[in-house]
Amino acid sequence: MGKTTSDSDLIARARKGETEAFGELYRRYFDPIFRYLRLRVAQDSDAEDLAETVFLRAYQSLPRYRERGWPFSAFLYQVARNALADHYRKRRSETELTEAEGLGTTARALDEDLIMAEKIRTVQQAMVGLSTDYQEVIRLRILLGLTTETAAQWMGRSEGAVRVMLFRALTALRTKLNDAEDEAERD
Amino acid sequence: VTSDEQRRAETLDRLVDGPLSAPGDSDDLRLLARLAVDLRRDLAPRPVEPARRQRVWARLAPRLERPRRAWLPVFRPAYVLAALAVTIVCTLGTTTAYASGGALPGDPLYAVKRGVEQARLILSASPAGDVALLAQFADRRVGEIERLAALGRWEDLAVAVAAYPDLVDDLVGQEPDRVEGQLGHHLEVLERVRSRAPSSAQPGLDRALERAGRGWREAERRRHEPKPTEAPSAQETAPAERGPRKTPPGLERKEGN
Repeated sequence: MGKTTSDSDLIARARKGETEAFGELYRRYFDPIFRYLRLRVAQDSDAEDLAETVFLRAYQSLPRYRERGWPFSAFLYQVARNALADHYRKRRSETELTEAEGLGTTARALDEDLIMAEKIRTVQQAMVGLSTDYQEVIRLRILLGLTTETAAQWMGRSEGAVRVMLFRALTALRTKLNDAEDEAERD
Repeated sequence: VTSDEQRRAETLDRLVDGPLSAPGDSDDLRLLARLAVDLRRDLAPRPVEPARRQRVWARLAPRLERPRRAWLPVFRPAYVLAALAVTIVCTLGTTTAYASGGALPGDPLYAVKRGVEQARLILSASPAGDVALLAQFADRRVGEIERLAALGRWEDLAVAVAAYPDLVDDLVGQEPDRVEGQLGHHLEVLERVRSRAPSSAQPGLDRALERAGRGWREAERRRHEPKPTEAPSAQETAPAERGPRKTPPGLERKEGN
């Protein structure tokens, strides 16, 4: 299957039951979707389960899917957000806020030295204090490294709005980190 | 959003993806860009290992079934079934009601015929409409009596005979002036049927004849009754002065006009 095949063609063929066509869509978009999910949950295994759910739901929704000017990856992102909402609802009683709403990098932090681990924890706490939109734009633009265009498509906003949102989000995060530093020095 | 903020946001957007500094960039923008780079370095999730991608696909692939065809909203099975059910009910109802028109007592559709008559009476919106329906239904009962007698179905005849007196009473009570000819015809038919009916059918026919005769006499009396030459005074027409009503209010209003 050539790389030149458009998403639209693959979607049309997948609708007819061609699993290979859907497999190509999966190969194109698994990485960004999995990495986004990994940012939102604490364990690799949870992110894997959610990614499986996302692509299964997407496949089942293909007959109703209409492009309407948005790329397939934006559709997958919305399916992923819905799957995450279900995941949080199920685990609300057992999941800490920082794991559910934060950056979910616990496993990686364990590999770092203590100073780095403390720094990461401070950033995570500062992130949790930001608005949902600010957290999301930092996840998509900075941590996943999506282009402004793609981030805007996923978030359903204009590129200009995403740029301004990122500027404000980083400014707010920097303020919170400075406040945390000041507080630490006073202690 | 001010134009200055927009300009700074665009510059930061460029710094996030490119070189961290460029001529003319302010310190605070460079600090924000540095923060973004630090976040990406420290917190970005690792690249996905191919083995992980294949592992998830291996679990997912067997669960993929051929997507079901999406129905246009109006052609969804539930809507189609509901529309079909409504169509069948309406068609059957209309057909049954139409077919029941010629049913006689003892026929399977006779109950439908009587039910439709009751419904038409309930739905009638005026006293004049009620009178027309009552006259029509009284004719039907007499017609049924005549046909059943011709067929020798005397037990079934009792059903039509039993329904007739009440119809005559209602009819005479509402429109005594206009039923004389109709009741005269009924009397002729009922007399003819009675003359050859078995003794078991006689009491019912006698009762029907008695009611038809009473109604006919009432109509006759009304026809020969002298008409008032002067309009009654307002005091005389006041409801409180006239005693109990004998005719429905709607008819009285018509006479007053």
